Amino acid sequence: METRKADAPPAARMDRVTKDFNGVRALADVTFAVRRGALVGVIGPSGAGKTTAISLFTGNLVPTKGTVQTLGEEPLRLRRRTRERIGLMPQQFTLYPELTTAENVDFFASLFGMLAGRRRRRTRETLQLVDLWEARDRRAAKLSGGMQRRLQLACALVHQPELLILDEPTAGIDPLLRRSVWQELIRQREQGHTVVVTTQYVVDAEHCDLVALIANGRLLAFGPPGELRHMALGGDLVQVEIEGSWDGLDLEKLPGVRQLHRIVPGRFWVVADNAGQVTPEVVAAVSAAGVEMISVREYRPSFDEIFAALVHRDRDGDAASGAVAPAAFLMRS
Amino acid sequence: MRGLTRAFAVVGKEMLVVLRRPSALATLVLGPVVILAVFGLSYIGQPPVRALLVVPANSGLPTDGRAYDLNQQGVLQIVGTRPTLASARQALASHTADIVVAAPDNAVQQLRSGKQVVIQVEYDTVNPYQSAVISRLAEPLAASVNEKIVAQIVAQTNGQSGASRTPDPNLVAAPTRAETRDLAPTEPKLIAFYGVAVLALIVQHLGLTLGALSMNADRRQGMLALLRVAPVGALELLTGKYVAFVVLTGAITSALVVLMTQAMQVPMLASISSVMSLLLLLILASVGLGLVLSLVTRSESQVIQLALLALLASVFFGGLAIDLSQFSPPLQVASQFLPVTEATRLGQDLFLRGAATEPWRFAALAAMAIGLTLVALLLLRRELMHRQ
Repeated sequence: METRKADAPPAARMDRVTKDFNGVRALADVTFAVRRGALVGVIGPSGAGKTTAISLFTGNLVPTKGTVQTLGEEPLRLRRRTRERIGLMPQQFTLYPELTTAENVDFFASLFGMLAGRRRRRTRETLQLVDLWEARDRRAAKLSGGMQRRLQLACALVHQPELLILDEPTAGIDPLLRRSVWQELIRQREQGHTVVVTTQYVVDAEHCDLVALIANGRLLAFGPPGELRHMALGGDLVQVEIEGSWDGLDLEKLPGVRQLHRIVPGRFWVVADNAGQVTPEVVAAVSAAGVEMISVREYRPSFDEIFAALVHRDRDGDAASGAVAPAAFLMRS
Repeated sequence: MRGLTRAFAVVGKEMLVVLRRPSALATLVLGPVVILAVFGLSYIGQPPVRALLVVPANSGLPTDGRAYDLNQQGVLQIVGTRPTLASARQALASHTADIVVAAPDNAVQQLRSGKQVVIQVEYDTVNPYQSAVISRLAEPLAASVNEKIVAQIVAQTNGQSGASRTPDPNLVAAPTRAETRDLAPTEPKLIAFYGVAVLALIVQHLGLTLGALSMNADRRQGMLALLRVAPVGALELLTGKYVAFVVLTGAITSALVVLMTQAMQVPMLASISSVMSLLLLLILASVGLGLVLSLVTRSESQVIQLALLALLASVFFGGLAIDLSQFSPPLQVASQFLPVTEATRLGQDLFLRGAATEPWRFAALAAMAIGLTLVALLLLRRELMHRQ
């Protein structure tokens, strides 16, 4: 099954896509593919170009340059059958405030051609899933902001889409609800659905299989969250604290060590290919130098820090120097 | 089956959206009923023209106003006589009379001496409609005074000659009389005539408003972004909206027709099927016009402005306020492109005559309904295909 998924064409892809709005560049030369069955996060600050990116997948926008494919077709010319396989949750509240919770879900189920019996069943299942079954007879206008977001999610899920595209589903909702939304998205992924989700919460990257980090319309990085950390720093980061004023030059010569940063006297950051492998070597080298070790541990910066480091690298246009700039940035911050 | 499911989803949604808005309901249901009721209860028709006659004291003419009565109750009321023109003019100035018809001081002497008698008619209005009505009544009023003057001369001549077989002086003075007859099957009544026109106007405004605001709401709420991705086509969306609005407007229209025929006693001589066909075509054309307006505008305020403009144009150029024959020929032609124009004419014929005297208007209304639907379909398809 996994092999077949890996071989299958991506659920969505954009290739060297640029999008301009009246001369203003919203996306610049972006390339990434959404693997089938993956939960892909498009992450970046407000105004980064996330909504533009997913609107290109849904066909609501047309690229200025480059090509986009969704479920193997050009989004502008998606066939009806293909559109039945897509679920979309826009950023703004787009449901009918005069209809009840259940009526809104039923309406969307009908739009996707579901017949009465199945529609009733799916409406119930979906509302139970997003914890809105008790509020099924309440008008959408009377729901709280968080409940409205969940209702929108239910409308996007009701027809069990193969590709689920969600624009900021966790914006403006409390942390508990955010967690439940992510649990639902993970559950969708586990059921074999492909999920593309935008969020401005960088920490949400940890829930994703793949993350596209976007800022100022540029794709800063794309890959699994673990790789992003590696990508941002140029490797794993090992923090070493010692007594005294050793220069630590011996550490730079260890196999698997890429760089060494002196943060303050007695504290180093070692950038290595693999923190697990290099840590014993570091301990041995410190000991061999006759220096007293206070602590040695792998430093795992948060995704916020990683994102900030990548933005910093992109802003400085210092891609050639790779990890040096982000690590230095982290060191300064 | 799936297409029908989609179309009926839109039908249900549109109906619920309308029915769940109390203010919209009040506007849609109570509004037309109130308008029709106010129209029926408050219209009292044109008040009679109040005429004051000047009968000089020494003229020998009857001083009782009833002697000059033209038997036009409700149209003309002779409110009295005055001995001098000056006192009559005061009544005119104080708006206690609308018209003054003055016999000369010495009419009999003037006629005997071979001079033509001038009967002076005066009124004071800036209202063109009232001016036209008064002018039309001035002639028979003057003729009535003239009749009395001639009758008096003949009577005096008879008295002097003492002849026994001279004809009746009144017969000499008024040798003919007119009899009028209306061939229409119902008595012309303003409530009936204008009631049908008001019904057509209300139905057009309802259909137009529902169509115009619905599409606009979809756009404002960002639904179009969802609809572009959903497997629903322009035809299904439009079918759903049409069915919902025809049902809603049809229900309100039926209530109005019942109110009109039962409470306001407006006769309905044509068959129900003919009247229903007319109203259905009117609703379809109106909803189509509303949808087209909403699809060519960008904002809700724009569409409301256009809906109000359409209402104003319908009031002034649909034949409701002013008969179309009073407009220049180009405007008469242009007014035929308003659904309300055709519906008013057809409605007045069907309700008050029992059959359409101009059946081509059915074809014109049907053409409008079909044409507007096609234009709305093309515009909606273009809107759904539109991408930035």
